[in-house]
Amino acid sequence: MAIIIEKLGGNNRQVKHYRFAQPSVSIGRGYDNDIRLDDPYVGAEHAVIEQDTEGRIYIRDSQSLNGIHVNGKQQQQAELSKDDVVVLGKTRLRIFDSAEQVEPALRLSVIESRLTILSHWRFTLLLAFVYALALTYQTYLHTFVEFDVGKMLPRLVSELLILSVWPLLFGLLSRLQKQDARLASQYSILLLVVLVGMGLSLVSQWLKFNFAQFAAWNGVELTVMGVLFFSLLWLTLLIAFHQPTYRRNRIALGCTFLLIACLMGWQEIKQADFSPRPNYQFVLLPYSYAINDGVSTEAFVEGLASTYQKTAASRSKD
Amino acid sequence: MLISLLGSVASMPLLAEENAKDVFGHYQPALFQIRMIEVESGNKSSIGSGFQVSADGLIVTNYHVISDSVFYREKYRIEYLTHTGETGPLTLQHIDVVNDLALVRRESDGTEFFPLAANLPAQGDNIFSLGNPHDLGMIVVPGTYNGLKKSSFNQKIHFTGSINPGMSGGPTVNASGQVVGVNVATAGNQIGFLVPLAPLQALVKRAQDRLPDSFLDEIQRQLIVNQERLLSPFIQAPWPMASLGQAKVAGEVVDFLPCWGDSNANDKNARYLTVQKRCRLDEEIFLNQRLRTGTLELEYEWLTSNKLSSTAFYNLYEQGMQSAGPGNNAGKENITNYQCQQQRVTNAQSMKLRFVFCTRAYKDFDQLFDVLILGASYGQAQQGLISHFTLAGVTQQMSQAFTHRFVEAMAWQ
Repeated sequence: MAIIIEKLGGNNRQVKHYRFAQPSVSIGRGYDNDIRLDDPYVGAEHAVIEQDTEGRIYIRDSQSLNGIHVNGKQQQQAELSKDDVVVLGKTRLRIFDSAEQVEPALRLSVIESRLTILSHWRFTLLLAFVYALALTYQTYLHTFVEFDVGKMLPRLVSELLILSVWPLLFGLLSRLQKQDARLASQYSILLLVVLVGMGLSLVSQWLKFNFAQFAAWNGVELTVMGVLFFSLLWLTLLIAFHQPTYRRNRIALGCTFLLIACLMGWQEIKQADFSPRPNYQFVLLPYSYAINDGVSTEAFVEGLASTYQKTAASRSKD
Repeated sequence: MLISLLGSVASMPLLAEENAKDVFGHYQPALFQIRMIEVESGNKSSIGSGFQVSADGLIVTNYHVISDSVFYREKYRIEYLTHTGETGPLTLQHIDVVNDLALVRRESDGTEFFPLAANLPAQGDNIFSLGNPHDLGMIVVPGTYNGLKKSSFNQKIHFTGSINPGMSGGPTVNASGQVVGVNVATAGNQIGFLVPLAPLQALVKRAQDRLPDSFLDEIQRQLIVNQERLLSPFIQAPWPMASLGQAKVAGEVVDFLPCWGDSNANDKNARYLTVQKRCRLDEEIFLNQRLRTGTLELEYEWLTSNKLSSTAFYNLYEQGMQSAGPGNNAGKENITNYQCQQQRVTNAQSMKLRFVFCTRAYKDFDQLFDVLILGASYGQAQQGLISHFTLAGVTQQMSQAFTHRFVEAMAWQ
């Protein structure tokens, strides 16, 4: 049995912690107190905290100028429990018995221990280099005049700066929570996801080239995008904050659904709008990427009937 | 405009001036301004000209002058205005959308009318276009008959003289005051176009026929007949082939489809060569303010490069495939959105092609579609052929048959 006094910062997070085995503790700005608060609004002898034999804790005002506020209410004397916030001058305290239970420990995520490699700056730089190479090569393949590497540099820098928004934002948020920013890990995860995304888009090009007729492409694409975004957000949260797994799952899932819903809504709006131009995406790859020769002219022309039917059906819709 | 008009009148021979005066004076009671009246406001929303062709009140004008009353029957009515300022209602009798003509009737006692000429004039003859440009009052514009427009599908008279907005639907007469054509369009500086005698005579002859039950159905019928005439040369036989770079594409199937060529051979910076051939029917059928149809476009582009890698070349090639658009104007009220499908095809010439095919349906006409196709060959690493056509206002059956010929009319040399 002992008196625990926590000094609180904004957000009610603990900034300092005291433990007293004696039954009475004095608080004030004077040098004689058990706890000395360096707060000009606190009196020299401001308050006394006492614990009785059954463990109950009381606070008593020592006729201070600004008094004691318990949960926002001025009190001469009050019994305190763990949830009460006591304010002396401008200092916020929480006072309770040491017998109070702490919350059970969070289980360390298995993934977290495997992510240690991400926290090495050397690994991050390697990823950034791979990303820069991939981007340069892609640009080279889309340049149809003389390719100038010098012109590529500003583009690379700006792309990396744009990408930096995500890790810097979460780094800042975790600093605000008094935790490490762990920027190397944040950068590594983002770059990994971006590289995986680039790889997947190549796969999707191949699929669209060969199986353009498959009607559910849009759904597949959205699902894959959702999974990718979920992974990114989940891992980012894991690194940025200390939070229970169920909470992280919920936040990541919620944000992913929101994103997918926005994308789907946007597509719906675009489709419902009248457009005098056709809306299609044409993927073209050399013959070596084709899985077969496609259909004959006769089969192609016959197959067009379904598109006539679809458009004829949309006559009556609006 | 006024100055140039006076100038041209002054430079005409004396005889022509005399004739113009006579013709104008004599037939003025048979000339009308045709006005579309917006029912709600009671004011005119557009104007054109028209002329009487029979003693019992038949008046000829352009279809495009009265098109609003066909598509929006509740919203508009047709009225005439005589040279003395009298107005009265007109009822629509018959239309010819392909030649842009309409026959209307007025219930009135005016018996003055223009006789139709028996034959077209000789090239170089003086003829006179009558009408009411920009609502300025009836005028007469002397000009020269310059024959039928060369290699056109639906023939028009080439008139050297100014035809201005508002003169549409007015008659063009020869020196004896007989109608030889109907003012319809201008191609700018002193080049005007007239609907020739034949369709005009055919329309006037139809005055005895029963009125169509529905003008929209009638339009659809006329469009289908016109499209059959236009497309049957393309559908009946395989197309002659002509070379474009290393590829072979459609040659001249019909003489009324003018083609233009281009290439980037003089571009020193380009690391590829592109050669293009574009053919376009240079006439279209006006249905209403926001809807044109009857167009036909046929385009090919051959690309090659020995400086780009195969992947880069295909990226370049792919960029050329993203922006297909329709050949005709159409608005939301008249047409649906495009629906597309994509397919890889190997044609009988073993050319490997990938196509996107898109079509949209006309809301007012249950058998008509606009169709476009865009294709790319993908069998060769360093060269490619982009092929494209658009058809407007066609039936499914005709456009599918056309597509079949189009796909087959491509090969490597």
